[in-house]
Amino acid sequence: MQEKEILSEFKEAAENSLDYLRTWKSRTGTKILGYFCTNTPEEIIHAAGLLPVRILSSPSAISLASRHLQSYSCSLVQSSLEAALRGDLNFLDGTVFPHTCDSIQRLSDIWSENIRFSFHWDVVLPVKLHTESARAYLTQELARFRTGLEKFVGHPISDGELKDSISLFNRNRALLRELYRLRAAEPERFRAGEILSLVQCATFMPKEVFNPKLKALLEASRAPQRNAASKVRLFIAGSVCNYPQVFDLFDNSGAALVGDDLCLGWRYFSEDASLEGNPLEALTTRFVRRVPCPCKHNPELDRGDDLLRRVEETRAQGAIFLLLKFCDPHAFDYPYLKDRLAQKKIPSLLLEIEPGSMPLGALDTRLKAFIETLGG
Amino acid sequence: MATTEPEKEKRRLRASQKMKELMTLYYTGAKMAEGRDKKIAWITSGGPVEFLIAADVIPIYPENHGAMLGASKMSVELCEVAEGLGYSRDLCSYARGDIGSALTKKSPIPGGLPKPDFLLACNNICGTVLKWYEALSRIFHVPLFLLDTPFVHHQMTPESLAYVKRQFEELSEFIEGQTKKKFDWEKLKEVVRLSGESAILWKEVLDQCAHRPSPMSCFDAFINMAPIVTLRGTREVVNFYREMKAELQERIAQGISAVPSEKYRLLWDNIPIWYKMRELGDLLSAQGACLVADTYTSAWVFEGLETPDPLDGLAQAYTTAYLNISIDLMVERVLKLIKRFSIDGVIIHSNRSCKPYSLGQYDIQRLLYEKTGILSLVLEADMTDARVYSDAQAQTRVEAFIETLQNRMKAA
Repeated sequence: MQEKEILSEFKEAAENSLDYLRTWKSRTGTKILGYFCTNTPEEIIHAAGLLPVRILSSPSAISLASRHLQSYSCSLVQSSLEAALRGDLNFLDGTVFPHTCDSIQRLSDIWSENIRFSFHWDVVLPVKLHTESARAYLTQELARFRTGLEKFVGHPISDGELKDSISLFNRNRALLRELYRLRAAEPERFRAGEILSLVQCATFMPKEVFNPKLKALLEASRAPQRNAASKVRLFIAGSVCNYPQVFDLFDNSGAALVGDDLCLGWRYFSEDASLEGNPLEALTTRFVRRVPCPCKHNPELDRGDDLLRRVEETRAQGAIFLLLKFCDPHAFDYPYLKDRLAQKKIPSLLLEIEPGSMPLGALDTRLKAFIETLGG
Repeated sequence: MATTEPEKEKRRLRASQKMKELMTLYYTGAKMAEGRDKKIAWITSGGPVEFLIAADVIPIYPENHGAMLGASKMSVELCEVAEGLGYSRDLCSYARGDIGSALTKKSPIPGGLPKPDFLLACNNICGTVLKWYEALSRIFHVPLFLLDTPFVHHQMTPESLAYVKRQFEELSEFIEGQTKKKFDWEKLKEVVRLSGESAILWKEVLDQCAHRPSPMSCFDAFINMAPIVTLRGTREVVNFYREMKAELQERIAQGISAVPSEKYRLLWDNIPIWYKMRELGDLLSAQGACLVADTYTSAWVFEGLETPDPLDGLAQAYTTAYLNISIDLMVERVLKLIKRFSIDGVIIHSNRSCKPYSLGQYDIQRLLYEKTGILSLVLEADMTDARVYSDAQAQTRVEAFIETLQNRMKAA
């Protein structure tokens, strides 16, 4: 298949992810668990014979959820509850809430009071990651999750099955990293929106289906690139943004994205788990070795250092902070990260995303003005 | 109905004056210690201060300072300083105000809070304190210890309890590293004993409001909670609350009530609106409504603190703090308060600054209604950022709510 065809297949699936999943379920009979955030140990869900699917924002207006959530909660929290209350997620058999931020934690409470899926689980991950006691607790918490899933599916999850899942997910992560390397080397090859829909597909398509498709794309992309005009190289940092209109702004601005530090991006696949030893220990190690998201505390891995290193590696000329309005953990880290970039003379721009009232025109103007200052 | 001055004087608690003296002494002492031998640690309000007191470290509470900034109407100016640095206006106003104060030294305390030698954050009240203390750690170039208390969804797991206990040992080693002194476990036992004693006294103080009419209102409790938050584990606090309890019992005996003619007994949910305490107090009092219980001050009623191994009681108490439990458990606690204090209605402060306290309130409101038929009012505001508060709107809503309660009582 040609590069273009595969990309449009991903785009189509990403735009109709719920239909894709409904069809998948009726065809295969696989049970599906929805989850929030990249801190979820998806491998355990997969090893239980279930399909883990990340719940993301949907663009629809908020009405039912406003009876449960204040207007100062973020759009991810509001719109996912809205989708669940409206019945859009009825194909799910359960939901998994990993401990991340205050809002997701309370969303879990509200969800369990109002949404009746047969499975509801809180993986109460530790917040600190650098100590032996946190590590031990995390492994125990993963074991508790495994037991909960075993009860739900009615059969044990063997270490062998867990390792097979880890191997499949490692493969997925390796392919995605390969894609990012290709993008950094030839940023004009992909549109920003194409990468977004591709990563989005990685969070809900069965890896068994997704991996061969991505591999085919990477193989098709060996051909010379279609447009080699050089553009301003931008890096995006932030939380989770799955609004294609925002990514279209980048494509229309004369800039090329060369890398990111996003929940729906690099942070999802940056780190592998080992296939040696106890698989839960391996998942624990993966988790503590990842550069932490701002919800986690690891004084031994500084987010600022990591951001600078990656911006320099990808030879980005500027950085965009793409933050969801009312996302506290990311908003707290922004002044520090911005200053770290400024100390290295890397300009940055903050774009705050609020889907309900997104001033796309204003975002476009600010982005273009920023790119102009970078010589674009 | 305006209350005359001698009337007001009669209702003023002697304890409030004593509390001011106690807190002035505490802050003066802490300021004097700045840059000397004694170490100073900044700690979150739900943190295990017993360890600091046992190690002779002076605890300083930025949240208490945040409330002071709110009450003295300095918050907005200092929040704007933080906002100028890139901190979003949507973030916790205690954190913004405190960061603004740390950088400008502006504060009701001359020169601002004494500089910390180290930081101790416990995430049993929110995830925000972690981010706030990480920022402080960068501003002051001092180390941060995070006490990580896993959130309790429906029930606490033995694994999380063991994890918290283990961290207490790590905390003692961290403190040893800071003070260069061996941690005194015997002293800790004594401090925990005093802390437990003051928590019980604090509960007994609040319990006096179960009397009809109530001898004090939550506004008095909000003011007089400072010692239990900042100095629990010391002898002074035990003495202070013992006296306060006696004063309240005396008022009950003399028939002195907080509100001249108490008709409605209300429960308050969430952190106070610090810059509108007087206005809200007068507004409610004029309607014959008294706030007799709240979910905020009762969060410092740590029960079962004293156990043969003090770490068991501490781990249990700090992990099951009110903001670290799921809403089904919160509803259970509120129902107990409704019963014990004969509550007629609930005022829910939906506080933009505090997501773990506020998200879920609408469901709590519904669950309380379904279980008891109790009515509640939601006030949208912020604990210290006055820019999001509307006097007129609050007044209309409170008056309408009281009217609804009145009609309901008449009908009954």
